[in-house]
Amino acid sequence: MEYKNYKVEDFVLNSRFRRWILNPQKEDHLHWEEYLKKHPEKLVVIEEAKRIVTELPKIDYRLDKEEKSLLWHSISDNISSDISPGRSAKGEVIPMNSDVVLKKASGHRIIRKKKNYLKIGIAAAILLLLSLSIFFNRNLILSAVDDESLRAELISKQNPWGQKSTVFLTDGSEIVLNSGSSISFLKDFEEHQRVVKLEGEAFFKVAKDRDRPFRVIANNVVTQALGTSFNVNSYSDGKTNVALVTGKVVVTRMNSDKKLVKSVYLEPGEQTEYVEAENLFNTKPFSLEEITSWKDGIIYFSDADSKQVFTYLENWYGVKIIQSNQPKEKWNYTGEFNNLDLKNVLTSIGFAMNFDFTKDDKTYLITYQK
Amino acid sequence: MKGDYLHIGSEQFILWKERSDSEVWTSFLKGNKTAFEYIYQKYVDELFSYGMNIRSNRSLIKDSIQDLFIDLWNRRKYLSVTDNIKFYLFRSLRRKIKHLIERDKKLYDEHPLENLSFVEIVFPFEQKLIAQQANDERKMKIKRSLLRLPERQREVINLIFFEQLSYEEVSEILSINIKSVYTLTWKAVTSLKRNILIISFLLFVSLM
Repeated sequence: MEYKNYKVEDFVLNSRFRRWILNPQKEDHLHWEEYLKKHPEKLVVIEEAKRIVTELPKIDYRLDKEEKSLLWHSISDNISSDISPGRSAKGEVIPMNSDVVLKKASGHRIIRKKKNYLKIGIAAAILLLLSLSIFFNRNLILSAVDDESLRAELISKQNPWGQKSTVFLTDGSEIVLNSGSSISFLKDFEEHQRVVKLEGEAFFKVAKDRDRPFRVIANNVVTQALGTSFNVNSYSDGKTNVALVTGKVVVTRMNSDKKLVKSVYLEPGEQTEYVEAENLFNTKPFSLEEITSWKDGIIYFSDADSKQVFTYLENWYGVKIIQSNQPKEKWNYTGEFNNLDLKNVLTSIGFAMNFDFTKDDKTYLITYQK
Repeated sequence: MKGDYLHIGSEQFILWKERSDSEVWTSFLKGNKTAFEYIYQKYVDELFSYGMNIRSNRSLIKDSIQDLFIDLWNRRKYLSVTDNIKFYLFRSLRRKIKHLIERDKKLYDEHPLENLSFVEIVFPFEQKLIAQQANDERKMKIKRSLLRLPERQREVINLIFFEQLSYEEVSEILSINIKSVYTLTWKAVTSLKRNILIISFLLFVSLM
């Protein structure tokens, strides 16, 4: 019998040894028993080797059933159709996940997709493709916006504080960009994925296009829509709010590797706020005025304290507001201003909350009455 | 998802299950599509897992598998006979992956394997073990030490230990000589040994 100079590694690498540990046959037991009888000094080494063999984990990656079936279909549809029973007449064309679009745009392989689903399956398939396409393509899309080499082709639009603007995209979508916010997207936006990166706040009216979902990336939250209108607010770091006005969206969190990990589906009238520190989505109803009035030039406060009010006004008008003394009581301010200048707004709020103000260039000084 | 997609276990496949690799392969070479689909069904999971262990990028691996099977079918007239389909597929898939990586260097975003949240781990021999914290922690650490191995070492471990291919086959898949395969495996095992023993020891101490 050999193994005289065997070390732990040798045993681990010996297939007969591994078989004995993992999947023993009768003769293995005999073989190793006999060996140990002759070489009791090897016991320690063998025990160590055994531990390694049993504890070595297999890192297993899985495709789920749908992925496997989709993959088979894309293989099957791309091979010569000499023998392909039952896959001809009622061929329902379902666009493959948006990989195709991106690949096409980059001169990549094009995969013709032709499917033949049962009627009931069609609706499900579209939904599935939509949701899978987020899953499949997240790397591609997100890297397309992030990739240094593509950055030159990015178009950016940035609003300073105090200025709002409306951006019309080539696909017919419309973005109302709030002050102090910016968006960027690829130059040939339409040919690629419809992906927009947002900092700050914007209201989106998305043109319908079933084949190309519209995605907004803000902080680490991805909002995906087909044809809808919704508001995304990412002014504060680590906090992103998405409010859906019409249609349907799915809001997903992206981890540091740009993998999509958590999602929430919104119904019209629902908003969700993702708080990074807690890693959770908080979904609740919202009032339309509160979330979307900004885009129509309406300032809207509901039970706001002084800090909220002044910060909002600072951002809205692009000014600085300083309080020279403290208010007597805590604010609980509710009010609405329709396209007014700051002077009027401050006069009105000052009347309710008992303060005067003076102006020096772009700085406003607030003094509460004693 | 219904369609004319067959699952392993379907009646059509029972026939194939009983046949040897070379019989199945020969039928496929002659243009039998069920044999071809059977091959896909039987090996797609292993191929995917193997691919992901080379490069952890789902869409890249799926594309490679797709390309591999399309090529197999279209080039079946020129393919040689084999009595070891798995080995044949593994070797071809690896080539495909490397090829696509080169071609798509810019398109595809590489993800570090350290991202464990997406890695499903299966402990083949302790699958149903009741979760014990100490044990879980140890497994976690062992898993990490496996993931930290250099790419090639991880690959040989995967091929030899889990896919149970021979050194000869691995040397052909990786296009390196047998001696190098052995050296790589040895290195991997040595570093795993160190980790596993240290981890076990530390946990043992912490439990006292």
